[in-house]
Amino acid sequence: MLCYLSAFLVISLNVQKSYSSNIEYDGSVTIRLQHALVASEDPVFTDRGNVTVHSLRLGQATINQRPLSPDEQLQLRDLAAKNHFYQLKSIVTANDGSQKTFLSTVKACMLAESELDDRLSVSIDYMGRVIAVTSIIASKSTCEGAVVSLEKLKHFTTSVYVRHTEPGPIPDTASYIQKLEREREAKEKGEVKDNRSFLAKYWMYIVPLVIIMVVSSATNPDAQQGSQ
Amino acid sequence: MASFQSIMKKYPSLLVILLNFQTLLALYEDQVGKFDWKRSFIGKVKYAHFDASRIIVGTEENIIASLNMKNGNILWRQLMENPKEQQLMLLHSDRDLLSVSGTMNNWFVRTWDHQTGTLLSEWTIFSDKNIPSVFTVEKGTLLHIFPTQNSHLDVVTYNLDGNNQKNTIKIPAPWITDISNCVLSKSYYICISKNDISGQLYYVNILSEKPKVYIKTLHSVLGDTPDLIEILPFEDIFPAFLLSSNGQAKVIHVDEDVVNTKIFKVMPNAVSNHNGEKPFIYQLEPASNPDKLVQIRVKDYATCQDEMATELEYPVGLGAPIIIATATKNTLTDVLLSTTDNAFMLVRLSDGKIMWTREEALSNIIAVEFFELPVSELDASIENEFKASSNSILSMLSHRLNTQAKQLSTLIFGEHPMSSSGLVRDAFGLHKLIVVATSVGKLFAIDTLSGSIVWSYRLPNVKPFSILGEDKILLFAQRTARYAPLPAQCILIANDKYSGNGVIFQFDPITGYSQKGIEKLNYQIAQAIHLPYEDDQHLKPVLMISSTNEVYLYPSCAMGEVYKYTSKLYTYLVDNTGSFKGYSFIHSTKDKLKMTPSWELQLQPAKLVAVKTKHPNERVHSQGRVLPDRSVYYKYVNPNLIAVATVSDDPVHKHVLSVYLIDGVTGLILYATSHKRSRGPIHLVHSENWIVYSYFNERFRRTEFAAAELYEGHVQSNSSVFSSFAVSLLPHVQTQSYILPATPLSVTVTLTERGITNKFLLAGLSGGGVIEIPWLLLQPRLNDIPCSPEESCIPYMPEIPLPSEAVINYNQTIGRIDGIEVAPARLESTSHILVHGIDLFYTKVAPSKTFDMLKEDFDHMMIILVLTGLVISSYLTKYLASKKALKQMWK
Amino acid sequence: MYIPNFLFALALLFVAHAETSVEEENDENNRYNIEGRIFPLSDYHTTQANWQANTRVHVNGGEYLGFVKRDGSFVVHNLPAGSYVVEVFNPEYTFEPARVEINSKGKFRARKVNHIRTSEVIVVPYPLRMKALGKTRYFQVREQWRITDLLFNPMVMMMVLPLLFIMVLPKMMNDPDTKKEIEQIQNMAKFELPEMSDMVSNFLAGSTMPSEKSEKNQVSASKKNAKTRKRVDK
Repeated sequence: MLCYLSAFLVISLNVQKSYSSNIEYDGSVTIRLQHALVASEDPVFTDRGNVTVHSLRLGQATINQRPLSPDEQLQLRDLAAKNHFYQLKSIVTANDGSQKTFLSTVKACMLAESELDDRLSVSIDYMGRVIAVTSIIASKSTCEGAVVSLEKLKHFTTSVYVRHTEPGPIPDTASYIQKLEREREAKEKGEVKDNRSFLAKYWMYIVPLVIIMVVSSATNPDAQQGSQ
Repeated sequence: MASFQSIMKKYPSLLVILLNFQTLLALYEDQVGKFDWKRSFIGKVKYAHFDASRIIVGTEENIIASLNMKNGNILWRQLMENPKEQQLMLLHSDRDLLSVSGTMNNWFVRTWDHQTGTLLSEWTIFSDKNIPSVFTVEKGTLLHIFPTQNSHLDVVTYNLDGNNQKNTIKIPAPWITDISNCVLSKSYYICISKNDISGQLYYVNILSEKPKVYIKTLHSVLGDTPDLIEILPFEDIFPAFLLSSNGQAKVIHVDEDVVNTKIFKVMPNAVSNHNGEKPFIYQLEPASNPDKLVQIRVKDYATCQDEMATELEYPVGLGAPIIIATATKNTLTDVLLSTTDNAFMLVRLSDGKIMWTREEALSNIIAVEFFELPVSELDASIENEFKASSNSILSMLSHRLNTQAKQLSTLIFGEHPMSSSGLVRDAFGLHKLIVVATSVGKLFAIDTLSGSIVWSYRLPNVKPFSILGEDKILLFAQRTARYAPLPAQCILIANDKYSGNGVIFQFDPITGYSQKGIEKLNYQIAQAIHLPYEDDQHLKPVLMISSTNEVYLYPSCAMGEVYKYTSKLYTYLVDNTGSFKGYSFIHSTKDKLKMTPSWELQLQPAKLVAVKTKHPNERVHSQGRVLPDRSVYYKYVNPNLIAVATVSDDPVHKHVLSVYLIDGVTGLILYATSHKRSRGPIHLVHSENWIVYSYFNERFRRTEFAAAELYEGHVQSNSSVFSSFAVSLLPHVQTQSYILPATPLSVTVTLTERGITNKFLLAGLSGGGVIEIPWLLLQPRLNDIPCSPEESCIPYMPEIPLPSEAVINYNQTIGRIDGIEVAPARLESTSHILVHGIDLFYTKVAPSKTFDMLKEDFDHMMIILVLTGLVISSYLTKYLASKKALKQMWK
Repeated sequence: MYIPNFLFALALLFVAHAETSVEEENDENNRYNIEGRIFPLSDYHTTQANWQANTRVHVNGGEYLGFVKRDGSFVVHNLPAGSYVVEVFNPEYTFEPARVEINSKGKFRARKVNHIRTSEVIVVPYPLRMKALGKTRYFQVREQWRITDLLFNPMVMMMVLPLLFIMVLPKMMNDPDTKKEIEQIQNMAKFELPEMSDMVSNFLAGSTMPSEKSEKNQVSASKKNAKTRKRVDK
């Protein structure tokens, strides 16, 4: 009985290892996105849209964002031209109604050059609580100075990534014990076979020996005479 | 057979690899003390007793020790429990040494052998009362007194002769108004009810059969005094105490009903000495001679006459002293002084000579910075030659001739006496100066070669910051000694003891000279950042953020320089609630730096336990790791990475440790991991593209090390510039964890000049050893790539081997290791290491052996002999050969 | 056969763990003492006059301390029920740690510390008897330079021996007596030569170590000669 139980435990451990996004509590969150399109010390945030993550475990999200108005498009282009920051405020409402506000900043020019294609990284801790919402733009370099037409600065194409906290590594004692056992067994069976060739193993004995033999056969003829 | 070994190395089995590491690490026995030194300390002295030629001391670090009276060296020392939880309450020297130490409700009573410090007996006392209590030893019994305010005294007596019999009595004492108004002298418990002349004096002899409370008016004891009256303890052979008012005190004896007031006035710091022919009173006063600071006044106890006043050769820079103990032997009187800056010294009367001083402040170091020494005058003059200062050819010529003549003279006559201070840079940067700041606010500069104190400076009224539960003072090297005519400059940032505002102390780390002294700031400091940019004076400015998020610069004249970089400048602030915020400086103007929030993290309800960034001077030499299949795995080297560890209480898993790697510019969490049923203490090390952290696994009840390494992958996304904003790929994370069969107290990583040398972790263990662990042992293995034996990769071992040869401080046990500081030498192979705790240990380590230096056992004679032999023989054979050729020609 | 064993070990582990977690939740008021004795270090010819004072007992990495009395005994006071690792430290000697488990009823069990197989129980006697494993080796032994090391280095041997031939043999050739002898040998070598190569091939074919001395080989040369001839005949 015990054996069965433990077998099950082993399997579940393995599962945990392979499927890292196995969090204990699944839940859904809604994120209200607001952004600031004018660079200022006290930025004014206007609504950008809503994101609903239905299942933190699976990371499924529906994104509902309104297109930018012509004014906002101009503001964004202006922001990009001045190499200022585009700031995003996310108000996260969890299942239990608790609210948390996060702030994130990207370079406006990168956002413009990517044609409003940004990624939202929602990091959650081991309990499924949201700890950070960060906006990132996938790019190999910072702004290249490309000119983006205003039409392309209208619709956000956002993708949401729910990023889990991985379970930490555990010292792998089981396979080590197995390895030790194997080595012990191998020892019991006999010495570990050395698969190197004879010459490779003992060349340092053979070379001097051959030399000594040659020398002695050259210098010690009496002994040979005696043997005859 | 050397070749045999080399073959064995190519075909590693577990054992061979271990052996190799051992040979890599170990020290030779004849190297002991060659480049390492250890200084032992005991902490601030609380109790002291003379015992024959020894001094027995008890300290605030919960340590008892015996010192040699001649030189102050430690004869033996016993470290008791952690002083943060337990304190020494009593040290009584009789036939045996008795110590009582403990918390509010649980104490250890231990007796020790005077001679050796061996424990003789040990027992414990418990109490369910959570009130401060006092201990004393009187007539072979240990008295434990709990005063309950306005109510009663609980007295527990323990018979000390063997059976520790317990006896409890309760004395009604509604007159105890305030415990600070009570003293215990011998078996008398004495209180005053009020701090002015209208108050009453109450005392009771606890040991008498039926304890009777005596009441006297203070007026009848002291006469008329308009000032506030304080009661102070007074060490004497009779039950006695001091009543002090207006800076002067009177000695009062009590004996049953009799109250005897001595007619003379003493200082509140007076002590009595009864072991000479006549009893004396000693007190410290400011010296009347303006050249000296302190004098000891001796008064005849019996006649109350002034006997003499001896001026002490009291060193400048020490704090105010108090007398801890006195003893008279023949005609000599020894006085032990303890100062406000934790120094401890022995003064011999009657000439007032200071026999020795122990700088006990060094037992509590909270900041360390290593400094390069200035070049010698000669080298400096050579360097000056290439500066634009001399413009005419003639003057340059004369300068050149002059310096070369000097060089010649140094070569012939040895080192010039002009630069005799000895603090001169050597070729390999092996000689450095360590500046340490201690928790009492005293600065010391220590020579790495000898371990001697070069200078010290006491900063009065300075208090350390408390960062994540640890006391910290900040030291920043603004300018090194490299810029020859300009002196090196360092600043210290701490808190003012009274206002809590920041203070800045700017000084020259080589000489200890401060131009401006302590500068008080009018704001509290929340964060200070050492900027990597130099201004025109080669000063690296320090940016300080006040608690109200105002930004200040030191020196403020560097504003113009810093403004250029504001678009690249980011910082973060952490507060105790667990919110973690990033800021940019983009809205700064030319005259004022301004912080703008740029990202935010909310880690609540988890508690932040560690925040680590990389060492600012660290260099990453190799961009990638070569895998066994000969491909390159590129490292993800993000200079803006912050490693954060939190611990949260969990109803199911008890404690959960979470570790996050956060980009400091964007706030993006690059990696997050959690360990369930794991708790602190957490030691986090962050270097290159990896972190290592240690924690206690509650499930398996063992300490574990986990390593996480970040890689970009097999292609490098952008090899020239790194930008935190350009996230093309999230880094691949490799992790692995290990068991550490020991308890680490502090963990750090070695640092070398160019980062070529292999990295070693240095772990200070609870046993007092500092052990080197090669990073290669911890580096996560890539299991999917087969590793043939030729690649000499180390097989995974779950338990980290801790060979005794890897203990860098060999048998020099370090008490209560608190921190390990690392600095690179100019020699790539070598790092300077300073381990501090109760003791101070300095050494140099070379993780890849000193590959860039000749071995110290290199035989110069041998090589000279062989070479000359070869030269001679070649000439000889040449001669012989020509002779032979000639002969053959004649044949 | 092996795998079930392993699983069983794991099962034990989980069970043991469940037990301890119950223990830990019990009331904290009961305090226990861990007792033990250290085998006197004077038996190890220590130079430490008072090794007792230099030896420290740490429980759970210094959370609780024990001091060693003159007779080598120690007591660690005030421990609530739980599992503890007892370590003994001395600057000169290494001791093996022990794990002491105190259950809520005050029962003690001491066992060897095994961090890898945490469930494995190898009981050691309680009160603890701590014996030094031996003197701690902190230092590497400096390799001493010996002439034999140099001479027996194969590289050196390979260089020196041919040199000897070059230098010595011509000298011997010049000597008229040896010249004759050599001629004799050369005559003889006509018979011997195939035998020589045979011997070598014998060596290489067999996996036995060439432990026999060359002289011996030469003594038994004729026998082998005979054997090889037989083989050739076959």
